[in-house]
Amino acid sequence: MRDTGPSDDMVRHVAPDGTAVGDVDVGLDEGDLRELLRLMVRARRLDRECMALQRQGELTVYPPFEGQEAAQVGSAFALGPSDFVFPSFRELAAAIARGVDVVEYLQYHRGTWHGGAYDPIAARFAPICVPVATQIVHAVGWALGAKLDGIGACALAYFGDGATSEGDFHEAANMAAVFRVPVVLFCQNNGWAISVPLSEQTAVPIARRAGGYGFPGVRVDGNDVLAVYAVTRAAVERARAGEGPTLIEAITYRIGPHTTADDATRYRAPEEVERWRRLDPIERYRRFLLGAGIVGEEFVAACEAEAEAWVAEVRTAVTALGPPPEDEMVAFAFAEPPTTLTREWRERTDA
Amino acid sequence: MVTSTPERARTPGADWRVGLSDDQLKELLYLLKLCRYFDERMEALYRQGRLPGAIYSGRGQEGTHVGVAYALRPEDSLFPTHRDLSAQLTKGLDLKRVMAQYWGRIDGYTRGRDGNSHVGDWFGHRTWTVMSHLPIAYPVACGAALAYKRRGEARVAMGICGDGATSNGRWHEALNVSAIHQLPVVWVVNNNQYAYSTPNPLEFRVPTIAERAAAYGMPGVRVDAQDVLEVYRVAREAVERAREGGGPTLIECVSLRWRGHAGHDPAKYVPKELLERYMREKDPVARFASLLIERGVVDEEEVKRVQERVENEFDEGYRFAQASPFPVPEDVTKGLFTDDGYWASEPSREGGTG
Repeated sequence: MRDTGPSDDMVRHVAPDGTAVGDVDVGLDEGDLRELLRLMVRARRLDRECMALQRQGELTVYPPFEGQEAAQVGSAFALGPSDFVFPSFRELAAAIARGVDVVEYLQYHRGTWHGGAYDPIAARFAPICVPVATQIVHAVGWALGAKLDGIGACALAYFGDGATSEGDFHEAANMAAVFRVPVVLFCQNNGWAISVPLSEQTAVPIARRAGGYGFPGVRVDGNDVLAVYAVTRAAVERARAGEGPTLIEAITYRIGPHTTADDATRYRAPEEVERWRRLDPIERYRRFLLGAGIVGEEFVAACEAEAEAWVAEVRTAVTALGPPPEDEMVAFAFAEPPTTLTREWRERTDA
Repeated sequence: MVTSTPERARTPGADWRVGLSDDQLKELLYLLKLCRYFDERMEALYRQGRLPGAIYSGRGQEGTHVGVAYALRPEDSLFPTHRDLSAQLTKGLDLKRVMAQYWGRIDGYTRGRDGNSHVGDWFGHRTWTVMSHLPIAYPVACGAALAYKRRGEARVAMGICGDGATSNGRWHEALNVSAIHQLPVVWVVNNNQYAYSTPNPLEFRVPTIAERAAAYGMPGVRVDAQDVLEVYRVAREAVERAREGGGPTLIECVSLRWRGHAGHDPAKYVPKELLERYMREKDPVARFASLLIERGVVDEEEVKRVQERVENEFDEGYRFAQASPFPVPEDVTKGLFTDDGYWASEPSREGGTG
């Protein structure tokens, strides 16, 4: 029997074997459809490189996203240039799709900067946010500002299944509902909050939480990039039209460990990982594009070659990054540093 | 599951007394009148400058407080807010000691150490000492319920908070954990329509708080708190389901806060017509007295006797509180940690009454 994934009550446009399920016209032209594949291939290649770089001691710690490429690329691709992303710490694929400079992004994992050295305002991509669920609060605040300023832009917050149990999620979602702010709450439900399985995280499907706030909640196959794009696009349009927030639960899976500091074999069975490998989002989409005649094998090969070359450049740039100037440690803590601190720092550098 | 309750007392064929005996109905009447009178007199003393500290009136919400707490057994625990003194009195706290608490005396439940309204009797009547940060008692109630479940005790925890507290992250965390682990806990929301000055529509977007229960996977019930019997019936059902392993329930009791958030708040933000309508048509104390007279459980004379009783008890409590000594300054560092034996020993009564 064909494995259809974990749930049938979710939006899906392409089946795991790459065949279309109903209408696959999500409003993208062939160039965009090809771009989605190109971005996912790049993202995976870089993700694997980052794992290797961490093992070689070139990165301090790294949270892999393998398996979640469609959820991130599909959702980020649905945003407009003035929309703002509020990521957690596993959204490098979304950053790639948004055009964030990945060498600057990886400075965080290199330990040469905190939160990513890219310009968050220019990139419309907030600094990497490790405290779980706090970025949802930031997203709602930004969205409230966007509403008050009348700029017609929307915020998108990425978070995981574990974050939905945090009080910050609740406070942000409630406030977003009360003030009808233009925000998309995008949950990548990858089944595990470090070692806590979904069954110990919630007694109901996460999408159903939206009903408690009074806005729509939608479940989508997070390994189907077209479905993710379509539901996110609809949520973004809804937000821009002044109709308030939407909660999207993208069902996906974290193929790797929580981070390079985690051994996932201690809490989950290899069969489960294997099952999800067979539901791979990139392979599914590749088959779909090939089957639909939108790309040929040579395009796929070119994508892979291009990703390989790009990642080589990124690797060279990242490994060349030295430690930041010492005084940056305190340079940005205060707009006007207190005299005690400046004196202490001067004494230290003079010594 | 959200149920909107009909006026049971006037529904033909329904057990209007929800299984309660005449004595129990009379006890409810006594509690309602006691709580109302206490609230009114304490506010009068506060305004006369004779009561120090702050007061948080629960007037108009007695149907909620008395109804939910009456559904608990002595071994069950109650986690109230500063507005839920009526629920604590229903759980069995001694009025005299509560009043000693308000005047900072040694016979108060916290031995004179508190501003005044943070009262509780954990080792006696199983009411958790009030904490001002809302709904900080919800996670604690969740923990108590987890302990009961793990120890295999047939006990239930009940947390109370207001409508405003439902927007706080702790509320969410407590409800979620209780639903996942099917804990023996009852979540009561005293929806008195105002979180300080914030009205319900600026607090949440859903029409009712009760329907939030579905977002956690537990039953939710909305009840009109002018009807103490209906509140009691709903709470008893939830308490017994929790005791039998059926997990948590969310109960939204709807009333109106008749007074300000605290004694200092004139609450001009509450529309006058709304307040007058509630006071005229939805007074849970007057309504219950009329019901018992109508049903022949009590007569006018007996209602008067109950009123006299609570007035005498208040006066007695007031005298007791004034005669009770202040704590001695030397004891101020004692009892901060459990192992010095302060709370198990008799306190010094040398503080004088000033």
